[in-house]
Amino acid sequence: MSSLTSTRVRHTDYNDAQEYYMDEGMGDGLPVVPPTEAKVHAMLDYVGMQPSEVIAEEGVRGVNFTAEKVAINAVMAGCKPEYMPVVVAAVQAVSEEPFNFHANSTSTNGVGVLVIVSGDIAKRIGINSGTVAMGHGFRANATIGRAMGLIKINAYGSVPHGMDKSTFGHPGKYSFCFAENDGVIPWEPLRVEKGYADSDSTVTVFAANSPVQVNTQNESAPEDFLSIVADASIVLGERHSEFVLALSPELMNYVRSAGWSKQRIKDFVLERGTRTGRELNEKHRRITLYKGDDLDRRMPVVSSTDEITVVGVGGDAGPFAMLIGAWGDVISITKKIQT
Amino acid sequence: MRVIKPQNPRPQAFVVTHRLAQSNRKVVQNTKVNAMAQQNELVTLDPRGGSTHEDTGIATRPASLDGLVIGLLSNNKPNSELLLSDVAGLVGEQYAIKEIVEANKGSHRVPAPPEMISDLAERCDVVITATAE
Repeated sequence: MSSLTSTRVRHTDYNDAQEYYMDEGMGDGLPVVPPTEAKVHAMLDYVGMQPSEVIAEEGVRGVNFTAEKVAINAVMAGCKPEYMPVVVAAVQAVSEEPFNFHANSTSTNGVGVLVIVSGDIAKRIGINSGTVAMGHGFRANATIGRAMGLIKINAYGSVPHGMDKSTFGHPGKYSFCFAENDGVIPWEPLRVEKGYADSDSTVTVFAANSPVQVNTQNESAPEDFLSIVADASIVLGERHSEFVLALSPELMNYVRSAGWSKQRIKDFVLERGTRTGRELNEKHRRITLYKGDDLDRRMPVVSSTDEITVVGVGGDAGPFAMLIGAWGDVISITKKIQT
Repeated sequence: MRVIKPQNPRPQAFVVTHRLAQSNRKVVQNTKVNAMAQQNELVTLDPRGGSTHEDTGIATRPASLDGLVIGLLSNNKPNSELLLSDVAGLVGEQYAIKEIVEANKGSHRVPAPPEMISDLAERCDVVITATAE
């Protein structure tokens, strides 16, 4: 294997290394796993890549994501080598032109990289799709998501107060990764919807705003609880290119029992989650944005059902949905994980 | 901590990378490697990447705008053209501008199309850009 070309830094001890990465702004504010040559080589060996191999080229800033830099950041995030194929696929995905990585890494909108994994690899490496799937407690979720955050900061240069101009940011910018729960979905999984084989494993990346949890307590008819979801989708506001609608296993049971398809859910939510042009004019600064016939026309949050991704995820108990808006002019990208 | 010089010559991409990485952050001073490594010492790697784009620097500023063609490049934010128009008016009060060329890149979220950049570069002596909600 060819040698690593990154600058080496010698530290007196573990704590000295932590202080170095903190002081140099090479991280997300949390302690990192010191990226030693041995750990980085273990990452590269797992995916059979040379350090200089370019995993993806991002066109706007002209950044080549080399296997070496991706591996260093994955180590720092705390990834195991078996997580590396997921990180590699996610880096390829965010580098696709329609993902518009540069713009969503700089915008005041303050999005993070959401990684949704679909397929067998999730179980094999322990990506949680059940209870607390979007929260803490599972190394694969936490560190794969964190690796994408660190790659964005270190390898891409989206440093807070530098290139990253997020007005607020949100906790998902530290880490945001979960798996689709194949066991609860009554329809084709996300990977198949995106054109891959059921036997494949995929990542789908979104330029994600903060998730909004919707409580649909005491409603079991899809028309009823999805009306609440549609109403909640309005608060995502304008300028979203897409949104993710994550339904809990309990809600999945209701749609399964009622025989609703994924497309019917999307149609319903898109149709009900609207405001008229007049309402939008009244609630936004650009008061003359909508005129004429548009004043009474109902405007959806996104322009078509193709821009709504429905996934089943979460713990068995709880009639909750999660809405995750994606930043405007970004198209989510799905990539096959090479295993 | 001490920065260690790589043993092998650095590839060109690495040099660009390091220059960009340093631009935003405190430069780590290079010192000699302590040959007598202590037991707890560890050596780690720099995670920062960089751009393959050539660093062209900032264009030379003209001494005066008199007789020059001024480009106004909007990013399509709601009031960017309004702001640019006002700026052009102020500039016009101070200088004898030869011509104003207006362009709008269509969205603040994407780069200006290369042909628009080329056209502005060919036609204008100076380009002013602005963003305004």
